[in-house]
Amino acid sequence: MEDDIAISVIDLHKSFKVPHDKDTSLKAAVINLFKKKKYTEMLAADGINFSVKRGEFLGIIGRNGSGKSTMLKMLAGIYQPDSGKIKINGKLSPFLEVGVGFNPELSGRDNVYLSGTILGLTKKEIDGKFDEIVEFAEMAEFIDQKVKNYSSGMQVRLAFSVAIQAHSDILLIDEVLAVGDSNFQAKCNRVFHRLKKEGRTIVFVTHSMPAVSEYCDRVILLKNGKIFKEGLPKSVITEYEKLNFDNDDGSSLDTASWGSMAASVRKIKYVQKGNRSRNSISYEKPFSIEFEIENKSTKEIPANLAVEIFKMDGTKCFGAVTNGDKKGQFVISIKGKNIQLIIGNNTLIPGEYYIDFRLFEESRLEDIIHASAYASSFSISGETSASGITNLGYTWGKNT
Amino acid sequence: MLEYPSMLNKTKEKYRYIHLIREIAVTDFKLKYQGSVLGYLWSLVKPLALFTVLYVVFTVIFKLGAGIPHYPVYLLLGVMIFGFWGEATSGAMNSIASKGDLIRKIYFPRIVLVISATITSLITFSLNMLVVIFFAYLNGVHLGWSIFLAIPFIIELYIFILGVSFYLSSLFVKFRDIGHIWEVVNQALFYATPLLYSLAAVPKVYARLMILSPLAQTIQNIRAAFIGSSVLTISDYWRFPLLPEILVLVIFVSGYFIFQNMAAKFAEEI
Repeated sequence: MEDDIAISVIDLHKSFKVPHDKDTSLKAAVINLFKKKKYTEMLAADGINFSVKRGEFLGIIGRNGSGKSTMLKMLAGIYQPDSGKIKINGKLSPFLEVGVGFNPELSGRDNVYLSGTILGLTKKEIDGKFDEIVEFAEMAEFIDQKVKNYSSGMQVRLAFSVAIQAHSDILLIDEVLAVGDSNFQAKCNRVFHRLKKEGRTIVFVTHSMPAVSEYCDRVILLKNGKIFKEGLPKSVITEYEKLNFDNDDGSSLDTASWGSMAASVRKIKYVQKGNRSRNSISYEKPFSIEFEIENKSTKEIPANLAVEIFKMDGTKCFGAVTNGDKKGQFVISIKGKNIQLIIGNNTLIPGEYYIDFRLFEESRLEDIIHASAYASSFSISGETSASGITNLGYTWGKNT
Repeated sequence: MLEYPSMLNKTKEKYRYIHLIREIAVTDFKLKYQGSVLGYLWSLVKPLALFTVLYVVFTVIFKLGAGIPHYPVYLLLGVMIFGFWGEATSGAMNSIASKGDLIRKIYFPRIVLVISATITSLITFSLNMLVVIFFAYLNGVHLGWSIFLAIPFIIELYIFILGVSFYLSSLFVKFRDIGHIWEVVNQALFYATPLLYSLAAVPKVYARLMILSPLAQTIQNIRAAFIGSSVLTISDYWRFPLLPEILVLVIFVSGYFIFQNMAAKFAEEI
């Protein structure tokens, strides 16, 4: 293998047989021995070829079920491919998700040692780095408490601090940035930039387009186990968004989302007069963001919608919630509902933005129907010499 | 197929998995006794309680132990070793299935989990053996260097446990019935192994068969190391006394290969 190639994947095939009934008892296995089993075959990898150069930051994106996580698991050695080859040149970090192997019954300290060891560190190495890990996680006061008493944010912080200590030259990362508050995300940012500077090879699977455009040198878009498009982030992301928005089968958006799903936001559209592009909005002109909500239950649902606009670095630019305003609250009828957030005074500085939304029941913010982080992204295009988040409507005054 | 280039890395990798085995074993040991007041002592109290019950039943009521020299030590050793066997095999059986989260998300040789689980039990057993030695001293057993003769047999027993665990843990991923079956098997073994009685009380035809079980054979040899030649061992029954050892080796090696063969699919099947 050439020396500057860290990973090469050659004609990889993998399918899962999803049995209609799984035999988990001997009796069932014996009885079914004589029956033909019914399977649904799922193609997770269907002849995939690619290679990753040393020091490259490769993003793998795709809708749910496109085979991207399976791909990562095959690279890590967790799943065995049916056929094809994976060549790894260098030391591979086994960490896929933060917090793997954390045990809630153990103290933070014990967990640092346990998950550090799982990541391939020796006890001595962890001893040496322990203070650094705890300091990075900002956990000094709580380190001897049991992890089950930590908030989820604290757990993630600690897990991430341990994970980045794994000294390997190839890292496989699955969906880290979807968790944590903006403060923590800023920290992740710095670490990612550092890892990149150190020349580590990183394969990154995510739903977050902002993260992809910020870090990745190259992106692979998977669809039904095949490489659909490969190239620079910008062009691949456009293709990905097309896949999401042109979604005629009516399935939901493919982002980090959660909630009861009694109703769901099916589509997000950006509308601006005289502008036909999908999600590029002209600077200083009003626009609206349309949420197409589908009711999946059999009842009407009184609901509220909260929308937040962020810059790519996670800075919140704007937020609004329907029950904060008089005419806000609405009812999702059985047929569904369209809600528009009309931005009359569009002063956002040209650049890339993304939105998060939360659809929740009546006034109770915790009864989430459908919420999504990185739900969709848009760009503001135009010319200005001003910088920051918003144009405050400035002029220069000159007096002598 | 995965290819990793350098052999040096492979040795290093193996070395680092030793750390992992130790860390998981120690963690499981800690977790097992966390939140209970007596902690580790329970692993000692439980076999001791069983021992007391059996001792009372078989000396006061049934007089089964009457002819056996140092019967209390004989019985206690049997109960402790059998306890080790039961705990280690059932713990190891669960070791893969219960760590599904880890297996689905991270790569490391799956065998690490089985070895860790058996080592956790080995730690408990070793501590218990110290108590047995003290107990034997109180019982007036003459403790000489000969008790060190027990060590090779404990190692043999451990290899046997590991071999059986390879089978149990990999089959358990597919068939959860194994759990119940194993319970029944162990109940049968409790009586089919000379724990409560002396082999001398068993008709020779059956005794010759019973002693071929590596479990019975190691228990008898360890007892002999403590109590002396009054304990009947395999060499009293067979001219070629290595049959159980061969059985242990066969189970260990075949179990290892079957486990490694099935391990590739664990992540998908759990």
